[in-house]
Amino acid sequence: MAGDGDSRRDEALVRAFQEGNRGAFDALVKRHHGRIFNLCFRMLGDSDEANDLAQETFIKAFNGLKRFRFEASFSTWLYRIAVNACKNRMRLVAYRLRRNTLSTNGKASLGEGGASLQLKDGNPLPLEAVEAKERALQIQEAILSLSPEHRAVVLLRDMEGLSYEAIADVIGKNLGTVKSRLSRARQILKEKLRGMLL
Amino acid sequence: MTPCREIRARLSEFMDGAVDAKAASRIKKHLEACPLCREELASLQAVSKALGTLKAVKPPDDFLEQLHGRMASEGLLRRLFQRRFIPFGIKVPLKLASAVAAGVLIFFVFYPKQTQPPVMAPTGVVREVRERTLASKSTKGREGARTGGSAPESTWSEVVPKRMSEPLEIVLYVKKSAPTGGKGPYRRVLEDKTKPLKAVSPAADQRALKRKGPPDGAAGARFTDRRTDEKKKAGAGSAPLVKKEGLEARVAAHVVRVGGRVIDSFEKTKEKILICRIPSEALEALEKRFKALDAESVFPDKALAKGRDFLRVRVRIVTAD
Repeated sequence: MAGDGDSRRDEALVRAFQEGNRGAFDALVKRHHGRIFNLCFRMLGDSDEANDLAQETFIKAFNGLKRFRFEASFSTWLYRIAVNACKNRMRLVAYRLRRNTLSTNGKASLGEGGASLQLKDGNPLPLEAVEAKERALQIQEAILSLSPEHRAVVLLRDMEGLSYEAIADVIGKNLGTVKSRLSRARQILKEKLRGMLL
Repeated sequence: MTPCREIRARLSEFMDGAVDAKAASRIKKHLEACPLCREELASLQAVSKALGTLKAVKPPDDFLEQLHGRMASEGLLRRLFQRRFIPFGIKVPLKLASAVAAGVLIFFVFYPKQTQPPVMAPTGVVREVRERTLASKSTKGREGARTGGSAPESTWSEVVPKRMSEPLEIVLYVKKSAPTGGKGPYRRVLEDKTKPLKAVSPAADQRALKRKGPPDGAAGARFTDRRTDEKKKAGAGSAPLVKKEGLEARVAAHVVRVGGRVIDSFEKTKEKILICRIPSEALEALEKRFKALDAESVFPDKALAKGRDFLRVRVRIVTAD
């Protein structure tokens, strides 16, 4: 989660963009694209989809940034766009058909938490690395078993570290809903990962 | 709710420090005494930690370049769209709706239900109709002067469809004749020279009239059957008298014989109208058959039938009273 200093920097860049500095938007993209891409990837489990949705998020942000009124922080606003874009994508029938197939190719791939179990030279990874990757895959699969609403809340809290208030702002619900969804999502994950975590 | 269930329901927010002080102390107190709830809390903390320790997946190195490329292409599309709708202050969803509505409207304007070739005013037909009209006016005028009736008028718009979607129009003018031997509703109207019909009894004809407007070809056949029955009843030597409305049945029978069918029929002041569907090549045959009737018929130009398999025809039987 961005701190106060980060928020002030974002605000300055947004104001610069609103005054006509197009370069300020590129600076905002560079500051946030990693987090947004990661969130999209964890929401969808596919690097190509994540790349597409992260770009879609920034395009929407670009189109709406002139009207940004600083009622929420820029990062919260960006998360809201990204979460909504992911939810919309997940509703597509075509996506549902491919949902359970994790991408094993693509430029970003699963990175360190991914599915590729080989080094670039073709040699197998050390045992610890293989175990870590398998563990990451299990967690990702457990996340993908959640509904889009539960997925968003638990990722925003446990992965991105957002406060309950910020999550409520992102998903457009009250605090009670955030608490109940988070509790339910953690319960489900606990059941799915029982053998691995304990 | 048992204390354990109540506590477990709030463990998630408790571990995030999102419960008030009073509730927190109550939960802590319970946890000290309950090993199962402590285990539950540990599990939830492990889940939260597992998600927190997931390594971030990095975006492609050329993410910004890809974004610039996509923004350029989408920006062009957006600008094109805005040029169309922004001057009217229409928002994006309405833009789409209005575009769809315009498309639907254009479709229905330019692609009517029954596609017909463009109708150009066939000058030959116009001339013919005008001549007929004038001749009819002069003849009927004379007749009218004798009988006190008025002559039917035929204009270009009566014969040639105004729009492509309108049916072709055939007009049959029934010559007014003095009743010969008939009484009441009987009148000598038309004579099919090839297959003369006989007079029918009022009751039988009344029954037939109730079946006005046969919906399909089979109904057209009923008219033919009825005529056969009429023949049997009336006998061969009777005068060629039919009731005025009998012409409608005769016309319908001719339509069926040339392979068409009567879709609808209705009556207007001084005229009966049959809406028929005939094969386009049958238009000529129908004209011949109608000419055999003792009525003045006006047909549309045959060129209008070109390039079409079937024609929708409106047959108007106009009677001057």
